Amino acid sequence: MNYNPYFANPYMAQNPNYGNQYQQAQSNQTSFIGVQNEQEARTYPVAPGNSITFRDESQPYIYTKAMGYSPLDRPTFEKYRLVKEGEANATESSETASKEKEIDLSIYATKDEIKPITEQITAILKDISALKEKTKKKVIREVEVDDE
Amino acid sequence: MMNNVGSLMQMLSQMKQNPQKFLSQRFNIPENIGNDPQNILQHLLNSGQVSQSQINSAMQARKFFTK
Repeated sequence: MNYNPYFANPYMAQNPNYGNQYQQAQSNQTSFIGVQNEQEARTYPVAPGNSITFRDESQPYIYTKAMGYSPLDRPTFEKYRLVKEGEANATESSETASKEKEIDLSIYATKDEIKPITEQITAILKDISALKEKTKKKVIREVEVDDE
Repeated sequence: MMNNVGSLMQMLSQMKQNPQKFLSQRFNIPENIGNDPQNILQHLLNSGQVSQSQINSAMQARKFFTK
């Protein structure tokens, strides 16, 4: 049977102020409800189509619990961590600093250290190419002598 | 008058005998909801018998008295 709880309610017919109360409840959603822990927020009764925001009184967390328009819908529960603006920046900068500390820079060579090695390698390469040329010329001469 | 007093007395005796059953019948709470107050409150909300603000007030009062 398709049952709509809002229209088939004998209490509404008996109490003419009920509609006003319900509308008031719908609009009064701005304040936080204090809870001791997450479990209390999870089990807190919430009306269909309504959303409640909770503030954890023992830990820096904010919870929201929202119900769908049908009582059969599963409630949506979300958890947020409360962080002060200044504290958030301090935490981020300290995290970056600690990451930099983690990288061991001693295993890397500096540009100044690499420069003489590069020069040495260039000189060796020049010598090799010069040797190659000499060998080439020598081989050509030997071939010419053999031909004669 | 006598009839009213009689029904009132009957209601009181029912409430004395089994308060939970009396309240369940009074607020149309199905038996399968069980004894859990949270479930009963959720049913009252779902059926529109109480509003969210009434629940909030009741929960605040409960918190105040159980501290």
